Amino acid sequence: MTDVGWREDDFEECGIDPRMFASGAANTSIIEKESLWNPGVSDLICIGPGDRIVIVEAKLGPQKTDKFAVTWQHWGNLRGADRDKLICINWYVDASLHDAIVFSRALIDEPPRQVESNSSVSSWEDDERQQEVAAIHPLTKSVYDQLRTIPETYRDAMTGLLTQFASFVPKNESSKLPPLRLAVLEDSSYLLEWTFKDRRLGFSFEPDPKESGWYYVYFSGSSERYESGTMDQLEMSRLIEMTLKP
Amino acid sequence: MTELPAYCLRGLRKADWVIDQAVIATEAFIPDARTAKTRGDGGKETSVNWEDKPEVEKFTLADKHNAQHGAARLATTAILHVSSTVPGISMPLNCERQRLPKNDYHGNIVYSAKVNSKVEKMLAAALALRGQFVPPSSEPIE
Repeated sequence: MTDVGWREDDFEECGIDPRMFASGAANTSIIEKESLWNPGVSDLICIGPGDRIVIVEAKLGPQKTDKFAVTWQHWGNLRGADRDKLICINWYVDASLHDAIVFSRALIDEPPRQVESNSSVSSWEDDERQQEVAAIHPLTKSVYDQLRTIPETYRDAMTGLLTQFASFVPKNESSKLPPLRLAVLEDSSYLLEWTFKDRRLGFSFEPDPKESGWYYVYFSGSSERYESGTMDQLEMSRLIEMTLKP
Repeated sequence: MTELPAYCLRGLRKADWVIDQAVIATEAFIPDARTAKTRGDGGKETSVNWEDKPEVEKFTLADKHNAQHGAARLATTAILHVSSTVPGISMPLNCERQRLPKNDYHGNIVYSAKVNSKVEKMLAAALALRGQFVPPSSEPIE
């Protein structure tokens, strides 16, 4: 079996519209690729009835005939599908008899394709909701309230960062954690820092956005760690996890 | 970098340079960018007093312009250790004495000109992390 992490580009290279797989649900972004012929049961992605993208529980050992691409157990019912309706599976069967796209999640339903024209609105609404999280999160609220006093050029970048930060720290775990601090430095740059007694996670916002970046420092007795990088190298989840590590 | 004592004191001239009267803020060790223009090597200075003798603490805290909110005590070995440990750049920090007309103890932690803004903040955070808070003097200004 070959395990491969699939990203949106992979779908495009395969001639499949990546939006069908990666839009909307965060848990559709990485897909595993497994041998279809391994014995057992797995989850396949395909376009099902009504052009809906569905995950089906596949019996590994599919039948390939002139009329049917695969036989699978769909939500408990043993069903067959015409090749025309099984675009994805059809492609994969044609491309390689040994591979199928397999989700690591049990069941994901995507909206019908005709509603995709509204996706930008949904995305905007999602952004708004995320920003609201940063506005009320115990660790970001104080800094968020200060954003209106800083220049707009910095504000957008900081709002994005606070939103990202807030999304990775559960509110119910925040009661014993220090809030983020915002400092205006004498060179007109800004520093956002999560300051602990033995470690700091900081984000600097420079007049030239390309110079902005992050750092992590830790020092405790004989143990120490230093990291820094540009904003496009920011791995918020990993850094927060590292900062919260006892 | 010879004849430097074991510790230096960095005056805390802003209230928010100390957090909860215990933790030194990173901002306290960020160098003054203006100093790069006056140095031949283009480095940036964070001003300190070298603690040549115990009286330097009192001397430092008496300077209410620069140490109104106390001071941060930092080991010279800690500065050199951070400088030799941070990844990606060789010895970004240096220490120097720079006597002033009324301050024989004055000197600088010098951030190399090759340090970019991200590493600069990381270095300042690393130094602040190792600093020990010295409370401000309650004695009246002389």
